[in-house]
Amino acid sequence: MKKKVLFYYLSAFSQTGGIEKFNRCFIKALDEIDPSSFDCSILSAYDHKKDSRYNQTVPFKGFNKKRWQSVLSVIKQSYKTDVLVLGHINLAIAGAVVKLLNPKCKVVMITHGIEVWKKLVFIKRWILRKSDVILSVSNYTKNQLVLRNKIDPKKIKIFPNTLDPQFKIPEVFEKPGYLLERYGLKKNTKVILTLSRLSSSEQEKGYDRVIAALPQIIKEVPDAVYVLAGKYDETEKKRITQLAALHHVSDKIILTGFVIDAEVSDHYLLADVFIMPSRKEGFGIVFLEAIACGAAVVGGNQDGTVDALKNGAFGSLINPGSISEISSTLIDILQSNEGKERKTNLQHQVIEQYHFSRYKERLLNSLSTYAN
Amino acid sequence: MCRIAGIYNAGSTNLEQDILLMRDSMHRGGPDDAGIFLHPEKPLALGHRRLAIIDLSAAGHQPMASAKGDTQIIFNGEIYNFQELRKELQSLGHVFTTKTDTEVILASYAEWGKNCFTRFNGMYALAIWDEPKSEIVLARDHAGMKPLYYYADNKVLFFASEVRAFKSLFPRWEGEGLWKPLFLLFGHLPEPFTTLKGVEMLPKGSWMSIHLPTMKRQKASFSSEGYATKINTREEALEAARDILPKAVKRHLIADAPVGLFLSGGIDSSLLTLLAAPILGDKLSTLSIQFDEAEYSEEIYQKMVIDITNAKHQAFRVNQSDFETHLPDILEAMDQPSIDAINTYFICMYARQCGLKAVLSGLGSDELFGGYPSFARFKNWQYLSYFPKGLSKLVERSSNMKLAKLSYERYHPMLSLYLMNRGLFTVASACELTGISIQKTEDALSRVKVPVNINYQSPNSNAAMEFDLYMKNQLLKDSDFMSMWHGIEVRVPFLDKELVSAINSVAPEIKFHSDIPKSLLIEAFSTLLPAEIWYRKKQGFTFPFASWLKKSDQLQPAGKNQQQVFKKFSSGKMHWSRYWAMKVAEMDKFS
Repeated sequence: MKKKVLFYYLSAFSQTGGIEKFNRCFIKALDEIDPSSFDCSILSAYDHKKDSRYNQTVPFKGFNKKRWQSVLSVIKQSYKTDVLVLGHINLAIAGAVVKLLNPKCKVVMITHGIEVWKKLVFIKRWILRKSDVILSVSNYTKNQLVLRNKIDPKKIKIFPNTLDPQFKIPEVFEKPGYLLERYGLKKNTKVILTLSRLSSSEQEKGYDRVIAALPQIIKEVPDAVYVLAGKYDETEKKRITQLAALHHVSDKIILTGFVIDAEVSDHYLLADVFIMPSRKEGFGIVFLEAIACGAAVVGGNQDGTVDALKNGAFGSLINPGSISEISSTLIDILQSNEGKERKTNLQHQVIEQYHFSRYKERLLNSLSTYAN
Repeated sequence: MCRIAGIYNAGSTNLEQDILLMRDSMHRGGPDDAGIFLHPEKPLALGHRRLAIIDLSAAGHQPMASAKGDTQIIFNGEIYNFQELRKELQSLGHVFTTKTDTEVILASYAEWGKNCFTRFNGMYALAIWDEPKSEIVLARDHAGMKPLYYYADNKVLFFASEVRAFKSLFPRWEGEGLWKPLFLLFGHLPEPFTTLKGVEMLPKGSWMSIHLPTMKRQKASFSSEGYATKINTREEALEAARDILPKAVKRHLIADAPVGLFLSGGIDSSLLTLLAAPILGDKLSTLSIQFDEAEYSEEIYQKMVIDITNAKHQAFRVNQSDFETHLPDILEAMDQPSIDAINTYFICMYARQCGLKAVLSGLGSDELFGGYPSFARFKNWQYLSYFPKGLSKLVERSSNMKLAKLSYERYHPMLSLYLMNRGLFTVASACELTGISIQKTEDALSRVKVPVNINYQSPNSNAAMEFDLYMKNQLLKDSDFMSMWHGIEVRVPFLDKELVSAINSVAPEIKFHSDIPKSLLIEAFSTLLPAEIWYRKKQGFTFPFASWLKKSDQLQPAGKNQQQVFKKFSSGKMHWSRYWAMKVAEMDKFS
């Protein structure tokens, strides 16, 4: 008999961010799973409509921020469900009720990053322990789960992120003319890029330290500029502007504002090097996107970035708190003029390991294991 | 890594023969080369046997003379920062003709005198003959990784890397009458005691100079190690561990001969392997021991690390019959009595078979980061100090060992802490079994070197106990003689000078306050270590020794005392180490 899978998540389309990216790919994978093997359906607490680029066939119910209603709906639906996949620890309450009322339903919990890197409240710890399987996007997050919440590591399976199937992978590494023009750059300008939400409430991405490292970098690479791409709030914009003035690098920083999906790949192509010296990445899919577009990458050595960059095989891992390491690593990369061959080679490796088809395979294998 | 020996003895009739006797009694520890230095006028001789690991050429021959020819050195160990020192010395005008660390020590001594020892980051025991000052200088590393035993009075001086060298020179060297009860208490001989009368271990992190011919001695400690808190936040502590340990591993991989790693599957050896992987690349070679008894198998954890690192791993099976076959050789290799060391014997034997010359070990991590159960017990055991000392003799004869252990409370707090955790017999039983009086044994106990200048209420005192009384006196000594028996150098990155100094300066409440042992180390490297490896019951480097011991034909009980203990041990009422200690204590070679 066909097994029934229900994916219950917070948001995939009504917000942007790493977890949303993961959810979109997860939905797309469910959408493409052979319907003769699994009967899938999805349910969102925050989304209100489906996106046909990611989902054409799977039945969808969106509760448009009516969380309690969504919880009740999941509980009801769980009686007809073999595997309930919870997309976030904040949905633990639904998992807990389902586990109590309907113990036969297998519960799979997805954990991403910072949301589980602390001692969780009782109900969340309880559902983690009661879950049949916990998926963790990185070894780092897995370790944090065990260290902070004493979860049996045997229960936690590593399930890394993937390159979004909608993500445009370039065949030629050339800086897009329209972006050079938009930002007033020359073809040979050395571009350092960070692509991230710039939020005054979340300052963990480390671009402050890249700004602080810029004076040293510019001494060695005078034509370098720092493109800070991503949606910002006004408070954060003001703070970044002040920071740049403080370091006398105002003319070296470009704030792009929100980057539409269609231009994301082009922004990576613009970059000679992509850097995000964060301490709080669950996995860091942006690094893989940057490599897929031929950029050299630099990330922090203290979080899930280490998994994404395969212990340094895909890029440079540095102490994210060290301004001197940031500047020396960026100077080395900008001065090295990395060959096209190496870039292509890395691109192929990243695609090979993190391609959507691999992700789909992993998901199918996992579901087949859990459902039985 | 080598073996060294030295003699100053005006009464010797054949100094050359004497130094050769001492030197070659330790031939297993220096298979690659050998040399001696005989002073043209004085009755002074130095001997050296070499295990070549850095600069394998003949340029590394020892004893080695300084550029000016006025100093001679014999050196056992490695100076891991010798390349930095070499550069510094070159800028000061020193010229080097070899690529060895030995030559760097000589130049350092010429430049900085005895202050040079504060600059070395390494494991070593050495002797320098300083002709202009007419003095011989002995020194030993900051953690006591390499041994240096000596006997000195107002006429003669003998020193060597192993106690067996003294015995080979004078087979009738008088024995230390008090070693047996100490051994039955500790499971090893605590410094300064050895099995021979007057032969002592030079304290770690210190030098001693002996002026010839006046024999005037000077001693000084050059180790700045201590537990003064300098790191007060967890973030800083994590940063220090993340920064220094990888550098330490890199330093410990400097070699011109093949270096491998012991991979038990525990936290420490796994972490070292993961950190060594990017440095060694496809030269990463690991080895482990496996047993027929499934409950000791660590294979799945080893495999996790091998899968991540692509290490060339070799696993060797050891069973009861191997133990029986090798037992005579194990006892021969055992330079000083110990209840441990058999595991090291086998793994080093196989390391040699794999063609390795040096191997990295995870030793030291449990002491530094708080891995032993003693750290968890420490807080509660503080209350035991309220136990009335007057009652301690009453409980000593109790058949319940847990209760009887309270009798240790009447000794020095450091000794009491050690014995409560690791003591084998009570003082009364040890004296009864060996026929030595309690008075004499207690006098000997008062001479045991204990860590001083430490707050006994702080968990740091537990770390100091594990570091100085357990690791230094037992683990490091055992590792040294067992590894050298097979011509293998065991390197210990967790005892890197910079790392030890940084981690000892972390506030104890940050370092030890967790229900997960070694949580600071785990958290610092949680991007690397698979959780399965550290989130499980500690197994470490354990052997199915109890069952082998029970069945061994060669180790059957002799005499009433042994029979009693054997009966209790074989019925599961007593730990194997107590019976084994009795067997070791009666060995002819130590009597």
